[in-house]
Amino acid sequence: MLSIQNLWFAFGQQQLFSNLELQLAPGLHWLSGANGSGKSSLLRIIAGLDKAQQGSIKFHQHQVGAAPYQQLVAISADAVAPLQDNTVLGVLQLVARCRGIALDHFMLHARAFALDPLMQQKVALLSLGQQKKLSLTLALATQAQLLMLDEPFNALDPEALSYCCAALMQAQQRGALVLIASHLSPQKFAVQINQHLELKAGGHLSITAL
Amino acid sequence: MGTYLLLRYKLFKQQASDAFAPLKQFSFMLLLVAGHALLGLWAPLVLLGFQLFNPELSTTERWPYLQMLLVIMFCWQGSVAWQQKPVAEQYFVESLAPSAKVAWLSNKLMALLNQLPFWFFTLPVFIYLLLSSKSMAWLDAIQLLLVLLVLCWFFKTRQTSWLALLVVFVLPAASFWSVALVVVMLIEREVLAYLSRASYAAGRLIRYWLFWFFGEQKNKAMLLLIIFVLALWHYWLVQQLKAEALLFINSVFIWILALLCYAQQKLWQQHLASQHYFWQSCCTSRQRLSLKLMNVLPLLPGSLVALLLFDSFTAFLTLLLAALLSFWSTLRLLSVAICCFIVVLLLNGQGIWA
Repeated sequence: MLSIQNLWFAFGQQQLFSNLELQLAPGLHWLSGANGSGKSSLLRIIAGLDKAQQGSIKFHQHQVGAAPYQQLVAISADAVAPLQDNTVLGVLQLVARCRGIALDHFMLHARAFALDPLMQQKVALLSLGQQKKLSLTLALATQAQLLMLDEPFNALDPEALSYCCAALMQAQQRGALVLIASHLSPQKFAVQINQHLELKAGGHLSITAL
Repeated sequence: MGTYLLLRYKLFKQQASDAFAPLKQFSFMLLLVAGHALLGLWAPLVLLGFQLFNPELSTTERWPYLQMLLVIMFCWQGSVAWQQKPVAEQYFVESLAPSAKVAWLSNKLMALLNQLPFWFFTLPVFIYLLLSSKSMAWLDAIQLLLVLLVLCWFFKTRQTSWLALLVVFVLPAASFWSVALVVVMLIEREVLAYLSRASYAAGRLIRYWLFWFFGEQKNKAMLLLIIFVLALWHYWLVQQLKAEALLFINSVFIWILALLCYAQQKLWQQHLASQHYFWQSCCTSRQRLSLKLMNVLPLLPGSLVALLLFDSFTAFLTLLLAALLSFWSTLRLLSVAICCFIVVLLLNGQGIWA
């Protein structure tokens, strides 16, 4: 269970969230909202990459930022870019080493995303879709209990899109909490979502259970 | 945690070597220069070490050496900083940290590692000045430490002070020189904080270039290196030298300056190349040409200094070479330039040592 209580967050003078409350059970949750409504910021705050001015975020009773919490979290977002001056293989090895996960898990997803011919390629030279595939590979291979994906379907080709949806359904089945932030409609994709959250200006959330 | 810290160290090392990538293109040239420095050609550098450690000198006499040391300190500050990585990549590396505390700790450790070289430069000087019995040396030591602490604690690495650098060059050898320096540094810090809130990067192309030029640490390091080489050249010209030696020294410094100008120009061209399609899509060919030429602007004050300090023919040669190197698209010209340099060395070297 992800529990967010009394969350306050601002970028300079712009207050993004004030007193945000949210409880999410394991399952697939779709977070939508207009551009600039704070979807990506919310994901980064939950991932522990940005610090809220006030409030508490807990997952399985662990506080955000604590080692047991961070072990359970993975994020894929354009704002969390793999190191551009490294090769694809180098980045996979680096994350495998940091996460303490066998490289084979990463290679499995990389092959499914057709990244295997690009292993020696520098990340900076990858196309937009290829960079998205690499970012998804890194997030999916960690088998995280709290998986956050920011616009995961942008720029993906049909094969990659279908593999990504299948991988998300698998994560849902193994009891993970998957939070997808997207400005698109969930009906367009082959995923069965449990809850649709809509983020409105001022950081207000409306929740529709499905 | 250990694995993560090791990884951060490896990334730091990689970034440090990338920071000076333009200089690598003429590393052979630098090797030659270093060889000559070993032979005592660059006496002022050697003097820096000796004179700073000389307790017999008064503050006024020691000031040029303190000045050099301060310049080196400012050069180092932030030249290979973690903060220079794009924010998205910083997020990525921090997302791999086992906990928020480890991410914070590793950020601090890397900042400290980045500052080590200038602690290494300064601490022995500080200890020696402190131990020497002269009261003025003792005062210098305290002041040096004060400037160092202000730099480390109050400045983000990408924010070292341009104004302070200027002050170092114009500050009279006053007893309490650090007070003026620290005040200027802190004022600039506030100005930078204000400017970061204003959108002065927008608008005209020249404003965009200014934004890049003052924001990029490598520019500061490169410009200082150019000023430093000019100062050394001037030092040699005022010595009583044989005509052959003068020719030799002029040729050495012409090449070094031209190559540094080339490296400075390349930094801007690399930056433009990284946004190639953006400029291609939104600028006319004339605007793109002026963008390419814009980085010549810092050379103008340099050329004025060169014209004032050196004979105009030498200054003209330097600028011509710098311009040719800057705009030549292949490195072939650079190879020719290095060959010419070696020939000059061979022709004139004997005359000097004879």
